[in-house]
Amino acid sequence: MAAVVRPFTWSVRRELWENRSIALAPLLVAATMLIGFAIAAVHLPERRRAALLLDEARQHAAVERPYDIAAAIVLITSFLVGAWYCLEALHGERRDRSVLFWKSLPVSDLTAVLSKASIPLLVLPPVATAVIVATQLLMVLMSTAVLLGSGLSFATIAPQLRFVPSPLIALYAAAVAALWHAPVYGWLLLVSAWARRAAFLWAVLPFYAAAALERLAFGTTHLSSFLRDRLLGWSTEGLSIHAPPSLAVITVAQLTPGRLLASPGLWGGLAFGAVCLAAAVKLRRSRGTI
Amino acid sequence: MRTRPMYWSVRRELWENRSITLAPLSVAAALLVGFQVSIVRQPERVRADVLAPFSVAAGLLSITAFLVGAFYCLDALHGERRDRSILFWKSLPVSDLTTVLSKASVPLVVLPFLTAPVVVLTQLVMLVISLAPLVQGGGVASYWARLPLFQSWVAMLYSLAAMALWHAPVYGWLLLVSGRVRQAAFLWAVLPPVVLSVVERVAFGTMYLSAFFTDRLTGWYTRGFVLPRPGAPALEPLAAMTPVRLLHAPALWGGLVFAAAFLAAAVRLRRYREPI
Repeated sequence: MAAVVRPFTWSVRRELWENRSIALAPLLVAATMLIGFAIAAVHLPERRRAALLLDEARQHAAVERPYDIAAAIVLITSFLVGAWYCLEALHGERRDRSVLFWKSLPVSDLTAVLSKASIPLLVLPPVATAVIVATQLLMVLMSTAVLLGSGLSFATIAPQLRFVPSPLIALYAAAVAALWHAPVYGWLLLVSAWARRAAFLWAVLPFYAAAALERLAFGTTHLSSFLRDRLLGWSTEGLSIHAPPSLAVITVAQLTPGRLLASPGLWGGLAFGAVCLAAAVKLRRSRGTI
Repeated sequence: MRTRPMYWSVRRELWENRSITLAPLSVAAALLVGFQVSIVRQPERVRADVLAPFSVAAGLLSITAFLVGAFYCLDALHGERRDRSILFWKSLPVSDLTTVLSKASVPLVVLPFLTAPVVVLTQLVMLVISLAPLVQGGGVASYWARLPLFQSWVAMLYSLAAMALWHAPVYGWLLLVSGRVRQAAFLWAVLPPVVLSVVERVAFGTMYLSAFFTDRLTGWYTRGFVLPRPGAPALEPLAAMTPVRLLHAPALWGGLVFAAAFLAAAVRLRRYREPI
């Protein structure tokens, strides 16, 4: 039997075992969303009849909105889970002293840090995509059943099914958000490896203080808009939405991966993330327990 | 010989969490550097609205105090279980009630009393470093007349007290989560309000919950002060205060009841919980 140890795979699996919330939080949020959608389904037939009278663009927006909200809340959850996880990943093991055990294993600091970084970058996007697609599928089934039960014919409903967002959009959004947020996760991992206490404050305070300094020094808010862009820029760069928000619909034709890949913000962010991860690896080597 | 367990519990919290004092001080330092730069580079902008930087400094320091308090509470009962120091602290003759109250008093009492002098000192230093360059363009008296510092200090004390009281249920909730969950305290604290607001939006098409949660964070200002109207000149700090309206708000007292309930639950939890 070939003894391939694969420390990276097992490191990632141990992170998943230790942090159940990585999978549980998106699932719980999606389940709550489905309950909300089920409550709204009581009045769905009336709303759908009213929507049938609207022009196509408005119809599209009206049908698509709940699906978009469901996708957005799962993506937000996955960002929060990733951010919390990174902030905790290297801090928690030092705090409860389990780092002594993990360091005694023949797993390098590089593997350990990369396996932790891969949770928000590689694990959470597929999890979020799967949860979004499953949720949207259940929403389609639920609304079709309710509409058929209310006496609308399938021929009336069928044309509106094409307004349901494509699973590709969920996959694209999850992947693009993870890439765009890579520097955020890298910074949080770095703070997590560095701070002895109050990791969250150390993660946030430098930016808060710098933004305060800029505000008083120049009366401008460039830094806070830069930070907002670091959080939301993936949607403005990766999607082209022209309609007013009330009519904003997202189709596959609006995905702009080329523009995103050409934006210096993405590559600068990835470079910053890589620097942070390298620093986190070095810190993990030198820092002991707290 | 009195041991004063409450007093020493609070002092130990301050020793263990240096960030309670360091965070406001470092933000104040950043503000002073920013102000110095603005005086050197654009004195005419500072002269045009002398009070603005002083209010910005006070506002940003109050937000710092809120952030510090919130994250202190989220860690307070979770951290001691996690690093097992709870076993030691429970072995001392200090009741769970005293311990939880000492932790709750950090955001409710210590941070406001710490922020107030930091704000006053920051503003005094700002005053000193701005006197020389600004007075060249006008008299000291006219500068002083446009700078109602004493009034703004009274308003600042009032808003710190209003903030602490208004945010008491938030801190209580965070302490409760901190004492209750085994991991992911941050997610347990933040996700329920966010998800419930979105679900309400989808289920009923209304936004009552998100308005309620926003009010829980900002209501001390919208009720405690006359809001500046766009276009109208800003009111004097003292004239804008509406303490009676704030004290009449049922939401304030309801929030305090909730805070007491959360704290009572946290005390009970600490009695039975063990290291994680």
